[in-house]
Amino acid sequence: MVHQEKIVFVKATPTEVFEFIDEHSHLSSHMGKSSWMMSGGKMETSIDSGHFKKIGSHLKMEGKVFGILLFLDEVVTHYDPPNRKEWKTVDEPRLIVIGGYKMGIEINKVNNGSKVKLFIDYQLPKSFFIRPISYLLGPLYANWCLQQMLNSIMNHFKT
Amino acid sequence: MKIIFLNCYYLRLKTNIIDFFNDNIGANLFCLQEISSDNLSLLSSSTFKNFTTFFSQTQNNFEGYPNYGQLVAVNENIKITGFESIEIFKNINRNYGFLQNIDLEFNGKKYSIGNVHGMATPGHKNDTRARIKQSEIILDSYKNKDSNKIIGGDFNLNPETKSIKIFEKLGYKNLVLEYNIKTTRNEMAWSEAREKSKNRGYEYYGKQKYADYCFVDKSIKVKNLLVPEIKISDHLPLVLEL
Repeated sequence: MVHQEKIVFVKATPTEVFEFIDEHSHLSSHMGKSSWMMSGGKMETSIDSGHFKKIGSHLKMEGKVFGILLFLDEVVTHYDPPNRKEWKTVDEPRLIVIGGYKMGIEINKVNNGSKVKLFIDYQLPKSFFIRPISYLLGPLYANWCLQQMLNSIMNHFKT
Repeated sequence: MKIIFLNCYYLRLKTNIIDFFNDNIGANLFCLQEISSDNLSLLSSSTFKNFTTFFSQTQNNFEGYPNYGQLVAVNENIKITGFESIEIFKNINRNYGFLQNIDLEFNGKKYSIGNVHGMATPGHKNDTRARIKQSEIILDSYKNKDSNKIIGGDFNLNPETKSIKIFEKLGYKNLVLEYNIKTTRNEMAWSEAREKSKNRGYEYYGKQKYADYCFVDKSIKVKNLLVPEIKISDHLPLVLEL
């Protein structure tokens, strides 16, 4: 398991931050756009009736990169507004550079703002052949994902 | 205001360094480098329990090993108005360096305080393209801020480098120079460098006396910069008083 985290302070209450991050499109929009990190590909998102806002609710993403089908299924595992939300992949996602993962966000009130921490704990892909690629590119990809999410939060609450 | 900058050497001298923190717990801010996630848990629950802590992970490690990073700890009595980690270098897949910037208000004045951990390789601490770029990123991050600026930490640079001189050229006071500090390292650093050269084939660059700096706006009135020669790390702490 590899752990990566990022932290930022925003001038907003934990409730305001949580409401923003709880809308899945605010954190996952980078996956739906064509980008160099996605090798020009992008993924389509679908969610169940729980809207990814309660424990057990699912979010699925599907797309293609270089003709290879990418797929992931995430489920909410911890839901404690306005301080903490966690989700993890179900089974092995098809993401090439990383395997199954848990992600989360922690929000703590500090003065008149919030300290926001985003983290990911991921495994290397199970495929032995992909592991060297994952060892090299996995940290870059995970770092990019976290930074995109953080940018989304910072841009929204920019004063 | 009292600010302490220190590369903690992963708390290898844990008892000594925690004693130092406790002796200086009246400081308003600690800007630390080379802290592990294990150390962070320990410090957050004890020494820094009345501080707000911001940890920026600089190195990813696989299961069973701690993650390393930089830490800014701010006394809870201080009003924080912003915090951001700005990447100043990236090694291909594992290792980052940050400018951790914290904006705060103290006695009615606005401050922006940077905690830097610059690129450690190559070991000679002279200019490289990446190191010059690193200094430019740091300086760019502050050019539009109207606050009182203080930038410190382990820059991994020699004092005569262009990477350091550009801070001075842009009007920052180099307090290590102004206070005639003789070294920011100690025998631990030098003996380890000799040992690595002798037993592990690392290149030896001699007794490098500097790595750590503190730059402040010319408008800031500095009471003192102390660099006590104590053995708590392979770096010496920079204790800034305003």
